[in-house]
Amino acid sequence: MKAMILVAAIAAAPMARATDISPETIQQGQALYATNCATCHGASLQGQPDWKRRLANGRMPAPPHDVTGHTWHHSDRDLFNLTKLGVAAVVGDGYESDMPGFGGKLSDEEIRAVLDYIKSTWPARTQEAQAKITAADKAAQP
Amino acid sequence: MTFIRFSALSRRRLIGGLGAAVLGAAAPPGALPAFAGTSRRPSGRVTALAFDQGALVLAAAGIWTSPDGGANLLPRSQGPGAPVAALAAHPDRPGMLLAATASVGLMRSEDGGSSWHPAAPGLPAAPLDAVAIATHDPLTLYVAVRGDGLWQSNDGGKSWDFAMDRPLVDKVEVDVQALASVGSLSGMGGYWVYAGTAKGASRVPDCFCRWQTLESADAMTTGTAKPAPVDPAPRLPHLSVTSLTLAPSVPEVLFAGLPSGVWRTRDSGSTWKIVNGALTSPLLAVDPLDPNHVVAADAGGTILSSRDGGATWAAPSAA
Repeated sequence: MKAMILVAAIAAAPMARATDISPETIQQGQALYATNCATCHGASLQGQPDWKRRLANGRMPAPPHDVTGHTWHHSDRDLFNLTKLGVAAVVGDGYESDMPGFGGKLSDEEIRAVLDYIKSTWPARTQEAQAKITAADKAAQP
Repeated sequence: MTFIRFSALSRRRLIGGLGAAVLGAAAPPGALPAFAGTSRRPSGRVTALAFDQGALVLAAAGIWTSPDGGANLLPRSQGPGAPVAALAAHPDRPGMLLAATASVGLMRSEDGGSSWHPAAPGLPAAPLDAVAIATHDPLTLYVAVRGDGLWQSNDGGKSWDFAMDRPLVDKVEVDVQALASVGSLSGMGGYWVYAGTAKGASRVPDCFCRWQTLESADAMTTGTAKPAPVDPAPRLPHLSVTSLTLAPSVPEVLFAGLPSGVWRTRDSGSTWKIVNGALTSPLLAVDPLDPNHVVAADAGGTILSSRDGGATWAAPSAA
């Protein structure tokens, strides 16, 4: 519940489709991704090996951010909050994850740039599917 | 086909070899007309239950079918050649049955259970505990492999991919022993897969990002209508859930078999109520043609039937 309140308190500004993003923003996001994300999620967004199976500590490995993973099944709001707050804070209920929150390290704009970069690597069809999920999420918000 | 690596955890050492090797040793397919006969009570332990359209199908030392919800049981065949842990059917594919077995993998029948054929080359050679067919697509199949996790096929069983590790309960992975595809929107571009375990039930969106509690209303279940909070909410006990079933046309109503009997939810699992305590760990099936028609059977072969969505129960009777 605490995490829910925290999430709800964050105004997740709408993110545009990757095709609408400037090359400069995507370039910025790519650089930030390489510095902050690639160690776990892979330089080519491929995720950790065998990422569908738990690690010895019971946590799930870092998933791919390319089209083979489930990142594109998340709304913009979820992706933003997961990146800013970390998975454990968003999920709550004692869920454990190695994915930290980057809110103290990256600005909101930088987080959006990283996500824009990730989205820019997806095929158009996947981008469209993710945009629909985002639209449904927005419609469901009070 | 990519096979899993077995070196990471000891549990995976239980699994070895190629699924095809075991499947190739399955009982010879083909109908067994000599086995068919008049109505009688199954011998042996009842291990699985399903509705193939309006026909009840039961696994117990062979495959049995009933045209009248269990009032009369007719022996159909000797079965797929191994103990059946679970049966699955799909309303859009009458006559097609899938059987998760202990030793011959996933078996398929296209004739209502008369004949059986290997259905899943490529699955690990380990006992299968549960099987489900996606309500939105009969070509999408899910199988629970004991000691391993959830496998998925998107082409009717021709090829399989590992989809998800097992649910984590109290920091320990638990096997999935019942599966149900639930056609409610997950908020993540797909639907839900529900699982019964020895410690309650869990669910995962079919993008397979994370097992979640049935009661969860977290940020990653967005886009779905959530029931009003009930406090104190009657939850499903964290006990062995051996059966999970629903009618695809009413995805928010599920039935679960627990040691205490038949439990029902009308809000996709947020709140539950026990609706019959006469049977211990019952197997359950809902008639896809009549969501109010629910059948429960215990291992000993006692069958109860409800025609009002679980409100009242009685021994099935021929209409």
